[in-house]
Amino acid sequence: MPGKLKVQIIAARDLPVMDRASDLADAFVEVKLGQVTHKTETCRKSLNPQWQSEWFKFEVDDEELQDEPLQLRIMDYDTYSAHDAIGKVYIDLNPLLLKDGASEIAGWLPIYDTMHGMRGEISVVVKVDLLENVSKFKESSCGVQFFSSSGIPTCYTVSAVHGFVEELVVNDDPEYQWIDMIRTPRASNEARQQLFTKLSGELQRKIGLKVLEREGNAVLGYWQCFDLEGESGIVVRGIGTAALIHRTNPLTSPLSTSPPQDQLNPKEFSVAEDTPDGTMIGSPLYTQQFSQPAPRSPSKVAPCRHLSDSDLTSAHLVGSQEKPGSGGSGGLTQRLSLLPKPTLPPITIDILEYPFFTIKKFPPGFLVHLGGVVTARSVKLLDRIHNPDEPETRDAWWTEIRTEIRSHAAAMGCHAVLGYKETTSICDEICLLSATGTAAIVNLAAFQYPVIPLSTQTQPNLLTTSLDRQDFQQQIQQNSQEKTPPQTDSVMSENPTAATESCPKCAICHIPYNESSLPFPVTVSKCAICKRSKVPDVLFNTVEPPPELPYTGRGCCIHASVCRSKKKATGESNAAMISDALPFMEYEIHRQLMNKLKVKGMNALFGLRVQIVVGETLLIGVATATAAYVTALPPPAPLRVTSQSGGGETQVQALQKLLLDTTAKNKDIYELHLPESLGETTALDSPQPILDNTDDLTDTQFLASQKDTYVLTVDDVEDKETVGGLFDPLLPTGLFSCTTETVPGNFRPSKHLQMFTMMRTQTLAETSTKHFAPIFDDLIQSMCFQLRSMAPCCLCSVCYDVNVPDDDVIQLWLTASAVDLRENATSSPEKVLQNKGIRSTDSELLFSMEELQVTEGVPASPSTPIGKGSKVPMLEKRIVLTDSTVAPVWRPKVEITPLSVVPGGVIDQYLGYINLFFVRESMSVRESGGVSGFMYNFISEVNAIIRSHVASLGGNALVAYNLVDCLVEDRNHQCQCLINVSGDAVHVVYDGSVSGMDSPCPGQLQMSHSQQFRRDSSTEASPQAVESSH
Amino acid sequence: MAEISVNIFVGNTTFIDPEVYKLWLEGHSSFEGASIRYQKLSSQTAGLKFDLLKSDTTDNYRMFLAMEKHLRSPVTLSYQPLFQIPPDMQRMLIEKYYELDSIVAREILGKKLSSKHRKDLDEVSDKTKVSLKSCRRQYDNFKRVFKAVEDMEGPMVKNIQANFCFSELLAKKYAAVVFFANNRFETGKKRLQYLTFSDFAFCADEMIVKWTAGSTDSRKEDLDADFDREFLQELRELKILVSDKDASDQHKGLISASLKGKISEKAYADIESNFKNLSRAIVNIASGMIHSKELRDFFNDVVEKIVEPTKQAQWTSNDMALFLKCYTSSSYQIEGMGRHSRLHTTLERYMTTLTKCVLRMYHS
Repeated sequence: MPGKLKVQIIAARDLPVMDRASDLADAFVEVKLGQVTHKTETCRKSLNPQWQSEWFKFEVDDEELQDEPLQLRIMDYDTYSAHDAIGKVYIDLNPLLLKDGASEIAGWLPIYDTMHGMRGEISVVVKVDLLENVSKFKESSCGVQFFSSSGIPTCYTVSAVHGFVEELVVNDDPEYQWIDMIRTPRASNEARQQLFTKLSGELQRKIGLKVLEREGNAVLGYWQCFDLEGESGIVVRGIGTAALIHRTNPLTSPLSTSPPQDQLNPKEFSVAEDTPDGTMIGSPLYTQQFSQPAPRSPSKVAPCRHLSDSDLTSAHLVGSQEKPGSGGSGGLTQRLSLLPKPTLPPITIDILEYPFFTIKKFPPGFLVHLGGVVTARSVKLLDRIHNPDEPETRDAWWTEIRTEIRSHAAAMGCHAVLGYKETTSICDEICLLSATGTAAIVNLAAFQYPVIPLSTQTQPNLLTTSLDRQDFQQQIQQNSQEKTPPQTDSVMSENPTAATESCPKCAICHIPYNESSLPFPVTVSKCAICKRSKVPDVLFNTVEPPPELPYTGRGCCIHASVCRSKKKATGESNAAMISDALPFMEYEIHRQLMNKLKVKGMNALFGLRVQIVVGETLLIGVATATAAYVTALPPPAPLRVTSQSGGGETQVQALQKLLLDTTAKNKDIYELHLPESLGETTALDSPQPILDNTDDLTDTQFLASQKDTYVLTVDDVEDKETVGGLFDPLLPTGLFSCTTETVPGNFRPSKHLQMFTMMRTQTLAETSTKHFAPIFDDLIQSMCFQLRSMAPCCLCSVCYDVNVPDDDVIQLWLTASAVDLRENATSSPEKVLQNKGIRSTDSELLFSMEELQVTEGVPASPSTPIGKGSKVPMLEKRIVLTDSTVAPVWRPKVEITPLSVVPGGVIDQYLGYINLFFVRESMSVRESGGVSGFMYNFISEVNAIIRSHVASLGGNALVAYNLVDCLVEDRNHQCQCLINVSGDAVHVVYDGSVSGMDSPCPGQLQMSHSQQFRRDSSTEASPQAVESSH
Repeated sequence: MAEISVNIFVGNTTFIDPEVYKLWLEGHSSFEGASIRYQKLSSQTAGLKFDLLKSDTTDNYRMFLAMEKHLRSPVTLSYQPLFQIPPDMQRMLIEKYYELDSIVAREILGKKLSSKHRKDLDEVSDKTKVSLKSCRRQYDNFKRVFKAVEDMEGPMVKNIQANFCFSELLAKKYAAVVFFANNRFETGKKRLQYLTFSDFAFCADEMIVKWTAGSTDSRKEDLDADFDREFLQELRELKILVSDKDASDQHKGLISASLKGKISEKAYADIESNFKNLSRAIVNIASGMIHSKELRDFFNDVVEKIVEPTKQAQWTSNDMALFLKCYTSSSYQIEGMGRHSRLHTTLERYMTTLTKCVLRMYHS
């Protein structure tokens, strides 16, 4: 009996009127966990009942605590007939099972009914006493922490990464059981909601077990989704990256209160999420399944570890409906990997079965080279899952896909896949499985011992935070100097073209594959920064823009969309038809992205997301990404328009002019003009980037491929429309957007303004891209209008989600966060120097403020502030903060954001992964304002409920927010909708200011200030100590 | 363009466009609202589509509708979980929701807040050109506030502020409405038509401050919408000023002497000839207030017996101010009054407010 759960029901408020005669309710609560139920007294004749119940106790297995949600059912007492249900509350107990998570769940939680929506709130307190179960054979995995954030959670360090973990559980969908014929919609909805919540718990428990097996204690980049397969049941899948993590500084610590930009400091081990450090490079390419078989050079290739051919080929034979021709399928035997052999203990990438990482942001030094995007898709026919306990078929499907991804990565000379994600699109019996990621060469050791890039090493210990930390840092630096250089060397030695030592900043985008055996058609040229290694002409990525890379100008959002009609069909023929269409869709998307990228004058894509959706009579593909100009990559050649059909010369010229003008304009808008020094050299190089490689035999081939990409042939009306589609309407001044969490460029998010969800259902007049694409423009226009008062701001994590609920009906979701951006004044050391004078006056201001607050323990002698000199960089960072929050700002009680951080604040505690599932149904949509009204209310309520859950855990923000609509159905004024929301509940400390409702009390604040102060003085002392020790 | 069937925007924090809110409060349909906005905005924003405004307006209206429940009990607005609204916006929402159109409020003032009158609101709407929806909302607001504080103890303005999160200014207006409704003052007579809502609100506020039970003694737990009965009793004793011929003559003498040269000739002449009538009017109003029927006619009497005759005699507002001031101060010197210091207080209490009310009503 390793767990005891205690629940107290305190009160409820704003209950609905249940008795028409008295306009009141007689409410009581059933408290249920598993099979055990307790009941409160009935509180008569009140809409605001007070129970102040005893503590209800449940003694349960920890397995049950993980799987089963605590259920509160609020009922209206009826003497003569059955009690009426007011609503329910589901409480996931997992956050209470964490070691350093929340100690209790306490607060007002909205009561929810699937037919009526929110109906008042209930105040509860839930506590768990957990007895540790050390049995080897236990079935529970309490304590394994899940993070859905896309990076390494702030305030944790990763000491080992144990690779990819996945699990799926299968069950019958209650909606399709025979009993559904005779029960009420409410009962059926509740059965579903209950089951889904339970499956989610079970899935996490099972994944947790896998993590424990590998001696990890956390899952990073956790991604979970529900596949509603209709008749054949429901599949809940989860993927993540297993890791062993430690809390960086358990005492709230300077770290947690320090400004986000401090995290940039590699010494903190955390990813520099907030602050693109000015200039960086990115670098992938885009492989597609249909890409021509790559030229294979049998030359120098160490056979890839886990990639035994048998493995691969056999996997390939399994899927019958699988779509044909994948880039890396046949004869992979001799795939090379130019990987360094990781020499560092304890985990090497070789021993990972699937070297996949579901996170998108990495510690500095982790990325060695980026290869490009790898994708695998497979069309399957759904059949009934006969034995839910052994879901072999589904497992086999995914194994197949993963193997394929792995081989694609290997084809690019890469040993790892980053930003990996698996998705499905289901339409009746057809299921399209997709997996995508970015092939890369990585240095796993960076997790354990962050490699400090040379550039930052030159900035000495000034940024450190405390004395012992400083010492620690020293060690780390020594470690890294001792250990990592050999590592880097090994990379170099195997990659003849790499010249990383001299120029670590651009190394990330140097090609990982052999120049003489390119895995796909690509033009390589010399790196614009180091002028030695080879880089591709464009790089496509699914990951966040690495902060280490130098960028020119600013990034922006681009999207591509394809819509194809498809004949109605069933079974195998349908599957085959879809399979056949896929390559063409991918090609079209790729072409659009390429061309739009050129029009924008940029050369890299980050955070690429391609969604392909299968409908009854149409196929839709949508791709979104953040475009950027990576300084190391060659400047994009201008697009050329030609016409072979003769005639219309003037038109072609007009188009050409328009294209050039737009590109030029974009260059201005995104500040893409190269700095003088770089500009000159690249200008010389760029016209004939290939000619440098005279030794390359494949020259001609390259030239040809280059032409394909850059030249648009306009022969008929359709072509003209295609060209027209390249001109995205510009966002209004002051609005920027990106699909990633940060904009590549010299910006720092300073304040979170608003997270929003838009949804739109539209009937297509005609199934063609021409009619589909404008929907996006329209949606964007409408979004800009909504946000007009917030400009200037940047929309981050812009995420589209498309569904095809009916024949020609498109449903489009858009989620994003509006964030206030500041130009990053601290990007380069030179700038800091320049600003020194001005800064120091600011610093005095800062100190005077601190002195006010620091009352004891710290000598407020006037001499303390005058330690400047070496301290300046650090002061300067802090000042920026103080500046930005002069006026106390109101903050919402619970901030929600799809980002993994809250700009303007620092996460000091992760309180648990939240995953809630909601079903909402209405028999009279018209009364609630049509489907729009219904959906509006539903989404508002879902957000409200998730906010309350975060608040009850003691949090004030939900990061990595993700809303997935599993289903929206509306027929004859009846509407049913299923929504799954998830994210990490966190507590955020905002810079300097006390946030109105939930910030630490003044006392704590004072504490942290004095700590900071001590930090200052200690750093002052330490450089001297260091010097003397040398 | 393809047909859009669903189109929504949901933000985590709820920001309100005051313009749209105003349109909603004014009772425009979402289509009308969108048209009005379109006319306004299309000149500023190039390429603005009407459809976009339409869906945005509908979105906003939907939100207001969902919010209305909480606007009706504003205290819940701050803790309801559905919308996260910045506090200044919450305040704006409440203030605007309860804002009064003076002309509508003028119509509703003094009427019994019954459902019968609610049905008559279309007349009010016709007369004031304010949409029926808006009239209904204002009427319901009156009634809601009235019901809430009707039986409450303590100072009314504070009660209203606490229960409805109003600013003091708005709370005072509502206090006036409650005060009028509670005492059933007659405001509908033709003679009173020239008075505006703010005139009445001003008078009500003055009465609440001086004449109610709560005004002198904060310990009294009666609602301060009720007059101080003791005070009304005492007012009857002021009859001495008119019933005793000597006192009246002396009073007139004192006033004439001190006002000579200070007020206009016409007013002076009028005082000479008409003092008795004027004085009687002042005193009769005072002594009649104990009877609720006469109390109801307070404003009518003031206008009929004080304001109109003097206006006819072409008194200026300044003349009236000086006269009333002098009327009060000189009365202490009257022999009959001199002995009753308690009467002084009563007279002072009565005359201060009456002076203010009369002067406020002394316009055309």
